[in-house]
Amino acid sequence: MNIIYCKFLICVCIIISVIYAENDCICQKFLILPNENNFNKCSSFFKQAKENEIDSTIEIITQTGSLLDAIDNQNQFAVKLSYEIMRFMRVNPEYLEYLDIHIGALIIKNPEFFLQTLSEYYIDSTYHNFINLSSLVGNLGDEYVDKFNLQYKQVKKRIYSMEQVKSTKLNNIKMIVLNQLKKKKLVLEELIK
Amino acid sequence: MNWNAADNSLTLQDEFVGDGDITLKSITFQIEYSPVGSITEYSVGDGTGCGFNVAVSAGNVQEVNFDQPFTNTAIFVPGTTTQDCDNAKGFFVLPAQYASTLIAGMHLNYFGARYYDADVGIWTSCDPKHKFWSPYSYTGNGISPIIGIDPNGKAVTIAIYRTGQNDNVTRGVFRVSSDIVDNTFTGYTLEPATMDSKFKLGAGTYTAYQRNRSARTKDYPEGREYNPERIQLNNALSENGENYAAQIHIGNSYDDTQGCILVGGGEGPNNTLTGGTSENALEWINNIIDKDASGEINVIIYDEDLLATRG
Repeated sequence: MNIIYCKFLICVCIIISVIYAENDCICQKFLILPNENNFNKCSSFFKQAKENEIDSTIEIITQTGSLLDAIDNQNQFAVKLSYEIMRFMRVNPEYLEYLDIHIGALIIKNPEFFLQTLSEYYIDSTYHNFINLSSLVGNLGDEYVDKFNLQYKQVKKRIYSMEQVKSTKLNNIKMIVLNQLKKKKLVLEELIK
Repeated sequence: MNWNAADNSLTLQDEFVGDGDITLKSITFQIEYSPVGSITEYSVGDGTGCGFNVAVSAGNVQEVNFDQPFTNTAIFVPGTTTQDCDNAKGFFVLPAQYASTLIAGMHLNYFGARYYDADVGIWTSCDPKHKFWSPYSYTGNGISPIIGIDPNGKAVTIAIYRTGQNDNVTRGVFRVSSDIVDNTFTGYTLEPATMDSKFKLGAGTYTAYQRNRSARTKDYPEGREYNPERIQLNNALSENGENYAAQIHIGNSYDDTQGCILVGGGEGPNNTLTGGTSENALEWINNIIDKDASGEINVIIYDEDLLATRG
């Protein structure tokens, strides 16, 4: 009887291990191949998993620069997954800072792409929004710290880049981003005058 | 009065203390060590009239003169404003060279640089370099003197005093000091505010380490994504009591943090840390940590309400 019970326990352990490993793999696969299929699987996992499972999976993602590299390469699923991570992140604000920096850099690289992906996730509500817009558009990165003239030039470039987007369906989100950037520009003007 | 250098015991006779025996927990010399062979008088007390003078010669206590008579219930609280010596409490600690053993009858635990009084849950004196204005800096405001430790008084301490917040920013000042390095550095901090969607550290004491010395930094190829100069707090807790990874790092504005503490040497308009100072501030902190070389860093965060109680 004891032997049967032990075998049963071992089987349960193996099944649990496989489930956890599978969950980890779902998002690790995305890091290797950031396509729509892997994005959907990883995104679904975030929506269904328990908090500790999400935490450990996000921890795995943050261990490499793969997601940030994919953002730099303007992979729309990487940007979307980043917003999913912002929604569920509970343990690592540093990684959020770097997501802000890398996604924010897309404002100049590909402003329409930036607005398109943002519009799918941004909620214009202070208390319900998991995207902190001022940091998303205003965190320029460590190399700009203490260099207010450079920050000012970069923000002006971002404003100019936003203004070039002509798509009417992105007009609302464009105005929200522009408003945020212009606020930052005013602050910087006061600092450098 | 009898000073026994063999066991560092100090016995006070009735005639020195007025009406009855004194319950002496220990003695604090606000410490300048006595040159051998000379007599130096130390004033002990908090400036409120409840104190006494001690004369020391060649390492021996020669004379104790009380400013006011004590009763056997007299205990003395540094930092309080009471003039009522009968109801005050006393915490007096021997200077380090006399402090290898406890005075007989006291319930103090010696940690190498100062005593801890378990009865009242407080260090009996400031640490040797006087990083804090009173032993109470270690207590209250959610800070436990046991888990919020600088047990031997030799760690680098980064004390952050929050001074106020508006809609999305918590402002503060910080001071970094070391018991080994004479240099200190004072600057300003920025963090997210309480009601913001970002993380915010709970007040308390955290141990920390320099990231540029940690093995963890090696996990990030090229070191591009993660600034290795950050100072990482261990077991950081949000205001809601949840664990998260927080650091001290450079930045100029609220936009630059999602829950970490930004440091700078100057404060600018619109809740900014002014140009040219944030990197310098972090460099100063790292320099003091490097020179200290104890490998121990304590980050102590005080909430705004503590400053309010200090007036």
